[in-house]
Amino acid sequence: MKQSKISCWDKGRIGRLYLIGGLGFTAALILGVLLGSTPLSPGEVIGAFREGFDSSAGARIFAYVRLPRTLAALICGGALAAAGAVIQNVLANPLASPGIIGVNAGAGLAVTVCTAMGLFGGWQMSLFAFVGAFAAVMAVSLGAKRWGGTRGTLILMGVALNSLFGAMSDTVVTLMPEVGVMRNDFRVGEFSAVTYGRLIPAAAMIILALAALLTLHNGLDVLTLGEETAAGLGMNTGLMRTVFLLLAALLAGCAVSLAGLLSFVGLMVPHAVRRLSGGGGLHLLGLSALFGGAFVCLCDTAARTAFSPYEIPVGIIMAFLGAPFFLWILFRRKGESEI
Amino acid sequence: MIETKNLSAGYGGTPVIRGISAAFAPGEVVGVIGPNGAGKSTLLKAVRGMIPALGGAVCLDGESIAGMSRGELARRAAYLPQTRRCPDMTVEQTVLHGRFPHLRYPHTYRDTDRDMARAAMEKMDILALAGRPMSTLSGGMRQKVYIAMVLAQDTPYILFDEPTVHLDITYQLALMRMMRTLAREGRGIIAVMHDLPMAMTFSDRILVMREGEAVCMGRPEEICRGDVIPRVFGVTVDRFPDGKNYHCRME
Repeated sequence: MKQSKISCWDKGRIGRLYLIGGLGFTAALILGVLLGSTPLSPGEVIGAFREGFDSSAGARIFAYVRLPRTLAALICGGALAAAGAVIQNVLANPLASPGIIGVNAGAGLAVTVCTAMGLFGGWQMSLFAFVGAFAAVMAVSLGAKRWGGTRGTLILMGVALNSLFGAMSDTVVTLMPEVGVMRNDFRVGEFSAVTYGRLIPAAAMIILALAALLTLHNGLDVLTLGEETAAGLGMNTGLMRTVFLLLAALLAGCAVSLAGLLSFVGLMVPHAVRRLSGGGGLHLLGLSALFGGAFVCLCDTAARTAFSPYEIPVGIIMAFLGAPFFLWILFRRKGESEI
Repeated sequence: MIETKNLSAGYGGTPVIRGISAAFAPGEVVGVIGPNGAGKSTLLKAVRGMIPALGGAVCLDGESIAGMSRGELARRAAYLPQTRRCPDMTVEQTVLHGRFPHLRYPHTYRDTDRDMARAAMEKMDILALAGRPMSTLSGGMRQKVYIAMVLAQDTPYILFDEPTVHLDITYQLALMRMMRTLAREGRGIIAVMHDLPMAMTFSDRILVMREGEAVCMGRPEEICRGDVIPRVFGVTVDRFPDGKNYHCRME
């Protein structure tokens, strides 16, 4: 009897979180579409659907500027938060996230190389970004395994990789200055250059990766129990670790190919979700994706309306929020250990 | 029956345990004792197939484990390691993962799995904590959750690596009695233990290890009678006059 009460309370809490996340996601979508230097009315948006996307200036702004940008922010935020949740679980490090351990920087380098090679297609950029992200996350994972990485070592490896990939990107840009167009915005992270041509391939790959992760959520939980416990439960831990990191790299890489080096969302959102839900992989992934998408989209809306008609890259707002959060976690987790 | 035949195993090609031949029968508790670094945990991992044998073989009910898949091994012998992470999940979810080896992709738990997890929680007296996040529990309570997870795995053999660590004396005794109950149900229990009197009191047989080798294996009263314990540990273990319990004294 007692048990069923507790479970109901637990399910009720998770249900409420999904409701809040869903409402936040929907609110972010609506606000993202309506607000901007030229505000749109709901009537203009409905009119765009009824009379066609080229029927008026408002309809064109909605269809070709606001909608792809808002969808990109929702999808990238969700992808980066889910990737952060996976990386933190697999590497058993609450400080790990795609931005901090060099995964985003690896994807960024790959995108820079891709554009330097004259490849600007959405699929090409997404694939290059995925390969760069995967190379980076595997380097960190293998390094941690080989050198028995503590939390600190892992973060230092991330710092080194971030610097290395950043220097390599800068070298490419220095040698080929034409690649450096919008380079600064790419480094900070922003959505102003999103087009359907770039959005659709990245979104397709992100949705596939998220779907795969959701079917594997119990496996992710088991891996979270620790390598030995997971192996005791019959899991091929080496293989599953690689599969999860590959999916996380796909999420982070595709997000970077769209938005640039957005930092901190992959750190903050999974942490907040963990604290609020206290649950395992399924809800961690689902809620992180919902809250991550809503958070980045709302930040992006704020970035382009706060100083309208001027726009600041969304990455600046997120860094202002994320950096203090990172420091807070760093000090809060001090001294925590395994049982 | 789990049998090791001249088993050698270790890490990176370097053997930690050498030439161990022993048999562990269903329905008995075997306590593995030895000083730090004797190779007790390595033996458990090798028996469970988690590290490859460098020599010799391990047979599970007459079959070599070399040909068994990870899943099959996990369905036949559960293993609880010495150290574990504190996962971000609830008690119920953690215990439910004991059913993981019994499922195929996508590993969706069934009602029968939930029932078994619930029974395991009841057995460990943690049902009331089912919805609590693991991070809110003390070390001892987490240990009980992990033991419930192993019980939910429902295997004929269970290998415990220092299961009483983090438990207070009441729970230590409760756990040892639980092991005896599991053995009475017909399961084979192999447990690495550090507390010599407790190992002697609750084990049917004792395997004494030193420097990677099996020094001897026998019933607790036989082990106590000989000079093995003073030789290996530098202490003596005696039986109380009640004939059931043991105590340790310095040489």
